[in-house]
Amino acid sequence: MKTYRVVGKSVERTDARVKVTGSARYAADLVAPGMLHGKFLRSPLAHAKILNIDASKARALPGVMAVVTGKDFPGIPFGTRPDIRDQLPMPITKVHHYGESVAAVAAIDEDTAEAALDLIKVDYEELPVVLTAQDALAPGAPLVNEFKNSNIAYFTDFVFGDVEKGFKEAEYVREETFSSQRVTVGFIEPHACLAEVDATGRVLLQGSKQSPYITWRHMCRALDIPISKMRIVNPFVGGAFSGKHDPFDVDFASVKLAQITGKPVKIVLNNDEVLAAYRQRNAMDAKLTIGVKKNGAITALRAENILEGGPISGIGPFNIYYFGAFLNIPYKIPAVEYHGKLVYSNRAPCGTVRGQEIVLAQFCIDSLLHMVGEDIGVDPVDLRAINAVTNDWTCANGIKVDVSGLPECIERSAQKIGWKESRKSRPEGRGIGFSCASHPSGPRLGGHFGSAVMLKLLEDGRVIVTQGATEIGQGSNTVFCQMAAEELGLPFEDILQGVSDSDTTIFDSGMFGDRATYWDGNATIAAARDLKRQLAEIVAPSLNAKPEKIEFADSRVFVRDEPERGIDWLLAVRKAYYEKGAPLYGRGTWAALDIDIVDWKTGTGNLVHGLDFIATAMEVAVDRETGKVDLIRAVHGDDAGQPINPAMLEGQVNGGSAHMSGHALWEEALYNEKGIPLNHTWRDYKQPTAMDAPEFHVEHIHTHDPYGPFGAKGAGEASSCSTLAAIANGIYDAVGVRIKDLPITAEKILTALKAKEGK
Amino acid sequence: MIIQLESNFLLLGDRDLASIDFDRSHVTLVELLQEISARSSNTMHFLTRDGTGLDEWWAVEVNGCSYAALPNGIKTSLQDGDRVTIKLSLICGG
Repeated sequence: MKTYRVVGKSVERTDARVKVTGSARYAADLVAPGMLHGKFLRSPLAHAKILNIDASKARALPGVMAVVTGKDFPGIPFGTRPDIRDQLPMPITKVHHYGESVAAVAAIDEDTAEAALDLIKVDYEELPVVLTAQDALAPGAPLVNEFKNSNIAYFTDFVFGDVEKGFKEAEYVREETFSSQRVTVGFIEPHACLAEVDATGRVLLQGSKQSPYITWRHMCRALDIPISKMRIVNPFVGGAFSGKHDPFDVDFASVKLAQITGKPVKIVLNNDEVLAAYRQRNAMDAKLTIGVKKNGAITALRAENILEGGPISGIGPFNIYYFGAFLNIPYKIPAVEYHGKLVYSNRAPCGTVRGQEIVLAQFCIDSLLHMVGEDIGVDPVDLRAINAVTNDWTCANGIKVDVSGLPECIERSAQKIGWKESRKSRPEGRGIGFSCASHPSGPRLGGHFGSAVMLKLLEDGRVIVTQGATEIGQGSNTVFCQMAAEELGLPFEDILQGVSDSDTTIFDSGMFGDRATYWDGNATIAAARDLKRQLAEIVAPSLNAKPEKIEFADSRVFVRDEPERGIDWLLAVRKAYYEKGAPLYGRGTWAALDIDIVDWKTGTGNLVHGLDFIATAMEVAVDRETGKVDLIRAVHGDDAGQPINPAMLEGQVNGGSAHMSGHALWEEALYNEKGIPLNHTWRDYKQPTAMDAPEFHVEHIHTHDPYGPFGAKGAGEASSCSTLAAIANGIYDAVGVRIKDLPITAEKILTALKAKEGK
Repeated sequence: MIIQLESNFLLLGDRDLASIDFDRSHVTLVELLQEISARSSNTMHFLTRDGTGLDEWWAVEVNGCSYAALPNGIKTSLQDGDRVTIKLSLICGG
């Protein structure tokens, strides 16, 4: 294993000190001269026609500068996929869910804006509500989305391999159903932005965005302006977890109000608004049938899955795809059949959450695998080991695994948690559950998928990194600085992080799917090499050497194998600036052009390089009297290739697992029969805190990905995918009850225990 | 005239379309796209707002050649048996 100077070291995060001292500026902290404050009037109904909106009294209120509704926008729908554009900036003819904004006010202060909302009169005609997938698919169900003549927003049918043959060869077959609830995304910082419009009409939007380039493109389409008429700058972002990709009413309304008033407009939501009316994870109803040999080797899998996703399709087609595609991995399954549907409803719109819908697929398959193991008498660790994908494996759907550390992940997690010892003796109510998962390092789903990085060489010898990938709290900026320092032969402290600004940062498709370390990391290396090449051409003549013989290390520029024939980096930089008049920029791009774009009809394609793997072992304690579950210890055997920053990697692995423990045990966005949310406050919605987290251990399984930067893979989402089933299996191991509908609440456990005991 | 169609998604939203048979002898690429759009169960706009170009979220080829490289672009006249490929050109993931 190659050792590095900076890569592989747990250096301090570039943003650590400004964040912990409170000096980092988030969107809500931004101010501009003459700035107005925006507020939303929201629908009290989940489904209703908008008959009329009278804002005349609000507009007449002193201090109110403008009021906008959906009719103030061009009426151009937008959407994640161009074939399913089913969303408007704000509604025009009907409201689709409780809390949907119907009007926005800009006023001189927040109190005035708030007061104006009370003066807006909206006439609604209430419509029947579609709450569940069953409601949506019922004959004669009311239609939810005005751009579609069906409540099926998207569907897909995939068959990979010979499924009939697989089931014929099976020596044991089991079928089970699973369900999962609506959960919120769970970031700390609510949606917020500041919009300004200059004298030429050009828009500047500074917002809390996960993938500002996605926002930029969608907004320009829906506002009917060219992308050159809008600049988007990202301040610090307080978490996103896939909940901040899209443009929201916050962004659209602030821009429209700024266009109308000619003044900067800031809108900052509160958490109640976010929990009631913004992105959640889909509710799921799934049925899986699995066939296995006597030794536990899987021969075939059949799955049906319906996701209820709220009134827009959003990223839902990808969620449907991911569920089916990732049934093919991390286990060797020769044949997979999958039928998925995304349906509309009148609950809050869905996006996705950390781990995307691989989280749900993995809950189903790893729960079912454990059940099958019980039936046929195969140990759960052995069962996973016998099926684990290995190096150079091609899945039934075409996903190619170059390097898999999964077998070692399984072995190490079982060893560290003390699985074998626990079979001999363990305390009453204690159990251990296992689950594995794989997550892509940024799949190639479509056309625009490159990553680009620019390094600006300053005349004091330091280097500024700017890239399209967004720092949303996961530590990517630190990783890029480490990679640049390693490649340039400079101290980590000499690499500075630039600002994400569409005027100066190169286009990037976004921050999602564990792609940043991998894709932007490779682009960072390419940019550093480009910078070195330019500097070498400037320095080489003075060293009587050819440029290709020049090397860079320890802040020196020298002739290969003759380190004494060289000059300090700073002198080389000054030579470029002062003797040649050549300020230098290194530019690097990277895209995995050798992998397939997904075929959305068949679901086939090799999709991705750099599949990361995890095996999670979770020890739980269940109180038989109360049903309460305590998470005691979690051990994650994690293959993220070469860890770039081990401490941050552990933070990602443990954070993803802690995040999903809430999905497994406590969280649920509840609605009444009218579609009104019942627990949209942090007081009532139960997300886990540090007090609920288990003791974590991460066992780094070092592998070297042939395409990854320094051999690294993506990281951070695999543990989200493995945690749900590990907890469910642990509860079963502890008290012998199997809960297949999430969340696994104390009440469900108690009910199951009573049923088991015949009470 | 029959135009053969290829795509990486269900062209009509809820079902696929392998070819279109027009009962006239002259059809342009833009007319073909408008016909598909009209038949689709989804709200599918191929063209820019002013109708002069293709929305950048689509990749369209005629007989393996990008429409943009054809002299008449989206106004290219199609011939009987031509193969038109329409692919989604997405920018994001999850």
